[in-house]
Amino acid sequence: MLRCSEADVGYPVTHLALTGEDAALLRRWHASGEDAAVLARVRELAAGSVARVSTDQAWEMIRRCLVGYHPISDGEPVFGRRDYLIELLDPGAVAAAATALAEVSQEWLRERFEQRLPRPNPGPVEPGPGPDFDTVWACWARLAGFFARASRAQRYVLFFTASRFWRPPRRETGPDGRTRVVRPAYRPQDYTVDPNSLRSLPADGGSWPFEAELAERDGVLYSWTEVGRFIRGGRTWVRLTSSDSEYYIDVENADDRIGRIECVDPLVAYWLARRTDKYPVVLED
Amino acid sequence: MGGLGVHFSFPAGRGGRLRDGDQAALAFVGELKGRWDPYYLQQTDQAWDPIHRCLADGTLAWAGSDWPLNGAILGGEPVYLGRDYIIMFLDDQDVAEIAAALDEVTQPWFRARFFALPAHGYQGRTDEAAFDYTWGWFELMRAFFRKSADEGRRMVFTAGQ
Repeated sequence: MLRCSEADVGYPVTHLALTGEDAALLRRWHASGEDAAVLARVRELAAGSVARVSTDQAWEMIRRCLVGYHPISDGEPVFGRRDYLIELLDPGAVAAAATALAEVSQEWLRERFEQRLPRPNPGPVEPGPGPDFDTVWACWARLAGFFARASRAQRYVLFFTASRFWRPPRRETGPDGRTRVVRPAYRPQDYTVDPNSLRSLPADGGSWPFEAELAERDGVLYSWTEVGRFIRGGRTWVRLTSSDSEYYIDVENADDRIGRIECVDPLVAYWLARRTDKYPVVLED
Repeated sequence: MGGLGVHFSFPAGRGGRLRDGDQAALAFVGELKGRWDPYYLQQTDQAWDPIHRCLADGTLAWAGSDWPLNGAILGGEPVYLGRDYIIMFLDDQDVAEIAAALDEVTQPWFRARFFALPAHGYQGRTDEAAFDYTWGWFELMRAFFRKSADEGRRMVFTAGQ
């Protein structure tokens, strides 16, 4: 039996209603290359009292349903780095989005939802269940209401979410001449298992004894690196990581065959990755 | 104790109101709960009770055993004195010290402490499934401490009683 639920976290997806002054400030900072200032201000706005709506795990299905109809997240980029998407919709685009969202019926959305459910992952580990239609519809309704209010108030709307690009840590020489690790602040995306890396793992226990799968050059787990062993449910599990990544999987030794395979929660993966830092760490935004 | 445990983190410059009495502390925690930002909170379900016992002296005593391991759940500064709720405050230095201590906890050490809990009066389950449940929440809580320490944040631990 194989499962992968812990790592399939949602990620914050937020639409914020902005005044023209805030929008102009973000544009100006972005134009002058001050992306750190943009991110700081957007975080401040997201934590503050501006009108906003968060769709989080429902966003991916909403986005899929909007493709070919009226994409509402394709605004003007005001952030130049790859780690976050921060895009601005002007009041005209907000009004158009408000109209498009308001015209959608529950039946239309249900039909699209069912057509556009994601395909199974390659490999034996499947993601946990995504949001059901009722959840997506509830988020859609909140999003439509948010855009309608923002449109009436002639607001800009800012789309803010983390991107899915992995941001690896790097080594550099600090001001004191000593080596240090520069590690991006924690984002779940950087520590979430890539489903493609699990493509070759067996769903049926494999064909070799468990230790041979790990140690033999032709074993299916040979390309993974063992970082520890532990007991769960009275059985031995091996925790593995893949080179050039910072995500981890747990593989059960089930009667000397590969048993369950589980993705390690991204937060725990962050802890594991931090344990491997051999030099002082500096976090960067 | 049957309440659900939650750690919330917040910037080092905030939280001054926590020391202004029970109502102020409740209001501050109410704001954190209202926001419910999963990036800055970590639940421990009902596992906070056995986790604290394992990290401290096997009991639920407020100051049982040694700092900093006993500080992760009930060893911070109590800022709410009512009997219906627990609010413990940890400043950023506390969080850093506890995170460093939690980093060194191994599963065999934790396991030995867990299965010895009945000798300290613990009446919850102490079988393999209960251990897996407790250790699973512990790993998440420990990672949350590391992240919060890395980001220089303060914390409160909250639970109903």
